[in-house]
Amino acid sequence: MNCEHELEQLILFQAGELQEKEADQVRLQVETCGDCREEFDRIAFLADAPLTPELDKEAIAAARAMAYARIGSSWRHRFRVLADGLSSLARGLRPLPELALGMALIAFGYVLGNSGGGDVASELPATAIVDVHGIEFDEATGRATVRYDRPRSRAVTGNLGDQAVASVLQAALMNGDDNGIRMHALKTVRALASSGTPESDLSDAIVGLVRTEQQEGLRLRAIWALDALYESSTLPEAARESLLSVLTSEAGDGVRIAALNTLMAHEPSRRDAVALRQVVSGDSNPYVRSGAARTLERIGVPLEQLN
Amino acid sequence: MESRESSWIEQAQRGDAGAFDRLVQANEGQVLRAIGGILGRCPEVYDVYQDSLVSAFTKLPSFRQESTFSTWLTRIAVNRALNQRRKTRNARQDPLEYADHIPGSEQDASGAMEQSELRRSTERALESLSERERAVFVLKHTHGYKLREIGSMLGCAEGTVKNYLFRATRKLRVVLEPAYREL
Repeated sequence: MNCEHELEQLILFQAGELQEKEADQVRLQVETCGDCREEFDRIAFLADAPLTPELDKEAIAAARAMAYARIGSSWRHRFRVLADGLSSLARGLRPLPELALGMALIAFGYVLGNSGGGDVASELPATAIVDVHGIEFDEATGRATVRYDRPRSRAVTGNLGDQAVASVLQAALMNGDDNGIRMHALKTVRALASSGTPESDLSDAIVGLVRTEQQEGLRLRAIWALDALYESSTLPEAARESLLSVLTSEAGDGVRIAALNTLMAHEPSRRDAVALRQVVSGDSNPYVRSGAARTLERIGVPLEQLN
Repeated sequence: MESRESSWIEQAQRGDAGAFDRLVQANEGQVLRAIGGILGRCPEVYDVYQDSLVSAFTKLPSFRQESTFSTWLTRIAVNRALNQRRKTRNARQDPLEYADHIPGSEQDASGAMEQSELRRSTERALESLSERERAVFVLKHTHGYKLREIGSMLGCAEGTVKNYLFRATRKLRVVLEPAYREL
């Protein structure tokens, strides 16, 4: 194969991009010329090479769950559909489209509520993805104020029983660009934990951080937040699995210990035995190993069965 | 299949989260192959997938079904993956530094070892390509898209895509020659 033009034809032939007549010519060439045949085999080898990495199914599921948590529940989507509808209506009105669009936006703002901030726990953010820039927890009242959106700041105040507060805290957890806000949101969730059962969206967002967060400090806070949220109720299955996955991962000692402590505090079951055995036999930290062994004893899996 | 997908799309556009999930899961493998092919083995694959789903949901009301949902979602994912790759390309010296930390990446025994070696060689070889060369090569050979479709996804002409494919093949041909010789 000495001709670049022929190489390109072979590439296109292998890729199925030639017209029938050209493809027939190249096919004949490949069948009759040893050099062309070898070059074609080489190109086919490249095309068949494993071009995509093997991916972690758990991480995929976690990414999907995080995306859904960010998207939020369908009521938010319906607000967006309403907004789109109003905008479309405005586009269709002539000859004063700008005025119509303005009216539509005013109407939309009216629908969503239009407070400048303060104690408005019933106000809901317009979309699942809001820019949270301030979170304050008031120990005296046991309520938090979360400020969001710029340049015109809005705020919601309340506790985890208030959907708006839970939603904006969830949005804050999803703000991958601002670790400070995420850390503050996790602290606030923990502080508010006794105030009500969280929305599953918020819980899913925290579980997502436990599974995939790279920053150890945030991961640790996420585990503590889960621990506090479910202090007096059953740990959801996804949360339990995320803790087991942390326990058997290469997370730092502090994170693994927090995961183990949380599991131990929330009714571990025999289903956890496989992961716990792995920890007993392979974890580098003696505290984690002995904690896992104690947990196995608690759930009725004798240590002698480990071998 | 098409009418079922169309029905799911309409339901999802009306706010049915379950329908959106069905669409996502039906196309998940394809989308992840595209992202993984462009980014290689790294944690950002999952971040880009997550962002792609959020973006797709946000844009769903304006999706007019002029292409399949799969192509539409893959296009969103590919563009996000390319942006991500541009951001991290210079920051990361060794794109395979994560390989040993991901479950399932350990080399298995015997025959799997060869496949694993080939996978690592291929990942390294793909690193020699530019973002677009890599995207074109992956989309062509893992998804079987026509060059015209890839051009539409990447916002460039078919002739340009063809040139990316030629360049990518020539580069890979050199880098993977030892692996080919070992066959």
